[in-house]
Amino acid sequence: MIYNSFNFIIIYPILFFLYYCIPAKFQKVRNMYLLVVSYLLYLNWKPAYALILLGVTAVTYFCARSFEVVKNRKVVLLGGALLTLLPLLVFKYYNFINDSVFELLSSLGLRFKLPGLNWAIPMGISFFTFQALGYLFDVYHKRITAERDFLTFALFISFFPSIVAGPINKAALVIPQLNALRPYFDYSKAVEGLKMLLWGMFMKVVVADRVALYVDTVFPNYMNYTGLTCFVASLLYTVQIYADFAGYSLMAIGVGKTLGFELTENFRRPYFAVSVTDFWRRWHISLSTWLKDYVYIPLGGSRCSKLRNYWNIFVTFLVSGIWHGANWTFIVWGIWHGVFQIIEKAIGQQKCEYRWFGKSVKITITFLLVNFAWIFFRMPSLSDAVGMIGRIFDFSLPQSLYIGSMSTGALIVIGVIMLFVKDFTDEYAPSRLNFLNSKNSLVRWSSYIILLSMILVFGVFGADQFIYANF
Amino acid sequence: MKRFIVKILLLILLMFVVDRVGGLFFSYCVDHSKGGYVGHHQYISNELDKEVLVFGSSRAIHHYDAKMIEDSLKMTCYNCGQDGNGAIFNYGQWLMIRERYQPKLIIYDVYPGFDLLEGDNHKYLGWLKLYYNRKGISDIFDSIDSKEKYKMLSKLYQYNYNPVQIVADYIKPIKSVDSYGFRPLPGELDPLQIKNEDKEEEQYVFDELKIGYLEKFISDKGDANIIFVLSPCWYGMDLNSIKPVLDICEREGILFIDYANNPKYVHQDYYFKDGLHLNEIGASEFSKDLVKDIQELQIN
Repeated sequence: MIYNSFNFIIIYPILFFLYYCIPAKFQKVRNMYLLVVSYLLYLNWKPAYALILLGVTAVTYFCARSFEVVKNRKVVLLGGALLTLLPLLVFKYYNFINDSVFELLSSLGLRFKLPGLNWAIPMGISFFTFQALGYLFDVYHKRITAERDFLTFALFISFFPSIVAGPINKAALVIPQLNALRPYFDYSKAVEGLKMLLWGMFMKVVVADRVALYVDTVFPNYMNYTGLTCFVASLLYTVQIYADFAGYSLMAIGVGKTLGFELTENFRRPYFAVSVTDFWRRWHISLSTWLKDYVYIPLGGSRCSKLRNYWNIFVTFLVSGIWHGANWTFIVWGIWHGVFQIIEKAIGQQKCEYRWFGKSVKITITFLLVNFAWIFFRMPSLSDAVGMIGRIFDFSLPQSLYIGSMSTGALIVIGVIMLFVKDFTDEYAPSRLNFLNSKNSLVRWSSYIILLSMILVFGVFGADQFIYANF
Repeated sequence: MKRFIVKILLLILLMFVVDRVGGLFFSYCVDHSKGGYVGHHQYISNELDKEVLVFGSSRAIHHYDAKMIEDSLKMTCYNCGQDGNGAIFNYGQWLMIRERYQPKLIIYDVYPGFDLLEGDNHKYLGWLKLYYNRKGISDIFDSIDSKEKYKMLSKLYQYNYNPVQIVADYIKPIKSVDSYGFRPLPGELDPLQIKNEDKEEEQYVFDELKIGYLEKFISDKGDANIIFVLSPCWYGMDLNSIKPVLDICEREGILFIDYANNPKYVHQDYYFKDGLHLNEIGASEFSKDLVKDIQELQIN
């Protein structure tokens, strides 16, 4: 579900109240209701693709159940994992692999190409596939027992707040909540959820989508702008992708809370990270946890030789890059993050033992490293990304700055400052300026009204899609 | 649950009050704007009574010297062009003008991106939000997005397109409303703003909605003469990109003048500010050429 769409504003209150019409003692009925809603919302997008969601669910469910009865569990795991990954490989990577092989063969003088696929990628496929795979691995390693009720498991995979762009929830977190007798209504959780929805919406429509007006003007035509403008656009894209994705995650977690569920935390002020390693403890936490648990540690993690450890980091972030998209730009982005983490590890700079000045320098360096990596993430090709970076460092031209319209410029500044102040105080003084949770009800309610008004007056509506919904 | 519902209802009630008060504030700012963009739109929507009107995008507002047209044709003239807008917005403006009076001549500057090609049409509703309650405007919103009518129930949302500009144009506008609307671009060509020319033949996907509004504009023009103009472009312009306009002109017997591919302007740095826009010198030269052609063809 696209949380900043008009449909959400209309449909969600109805779904919410219908859910709470079901008494708490009818837990199964409540779960069934959520499952039906989740599938209906998915069907609403492209009905046929719900079969893929169902297929992935069925494969992981039956494979996990069969671990209890079969002797060769490894074969079942391998087969189940491959079958689970198959739709993702076909829909997301087929064209990329086909094109890459064609280019490779062409360079050897062989011209052979399979026909390309012109299909839309099923919404959220990377997220629900990884969530299902994580469950399969956890059952295989006996960290959890296989879920017996298919409907409960199907709800875990398709749960509508998180299916489009995560968080990638762990079965150990969500399935027990689905099976437990939840209280009829948890007031404080619901209020907390609404506050998360409110701030998430602000991040998306007031900050991310406003900043996007500038970013989308400069990035595709970077050759027509000065280095200074390109640099400012890259900084703003760094803000945009954070506000967009963290805003989405907050809204997803908030919707979950209003229904009484706890979902995985996904962001923890990533741009205050003191190293790239620290950045990945704060950015897309559910994915980095997944990669740590199911790629990095199985490869040997850090309990091995230094070189082997570096290799493990490299492979983990290569997988991260590939997960994000079928393009060399994402692979380079992943490698960039992997390489800088290896360097940090080699020179002992993963943590920060400096005082405020040293810490500020480390935060700035990390921010810039992450910022330049985002250029690869945003650009359609490696040559464009390199071209944009080249333009930033081209000092031969006069360094004027493109501002755009007065209104857009002013609103970008207001939005970015508000986001920065909120994250800064949450990071360093969580008890201060926390207006949304103030004990003074006047301050608290004024904050709600101001944020809602800002969303209405300054929000950009119509740009419905989230960046990460494309993954 | 009861407590939760009560508080939600209270929040909705408070927001309703804030929304109405905020709407009144912005409405006051718009009604009393002292110039700038808002003043320009207010003038066009409420006071304009000139004989020759220029419609189009930024290429209209920066290219057509309304004073020169007025002096040469001996008819009053106003440039109604608006940055980043095309057929949909122009039709909205035209509805409000037509309510008051009938101009003698309409010069419509065509730009395929805004007038003909497919794309997100929500952006053309921006300035029209201020005039949502005027006759016929809500139908334009409905044709683009049926959900807009519900969004427009919020008074704050009605001023969501350019709130900073609305307040700035009330307090201290950068530019006062002049009597011509023309905004020349001073300075020389910025070579950075020349994009690499893609020689590959493009496939154009036309937007039936935009073309429909262009046709409505023509059918609602009454006794006014109308001419379609492709103003100069540094790159030149592929006429396939405006094929629907050429077809309409042929069908309706409307004059079409192409300056975009006129060798006098194509690749002539001297006349341009960037690849799509003439500078002050270019605009003056082009306006002279246009007036001459209009006089020769005795359109007025």
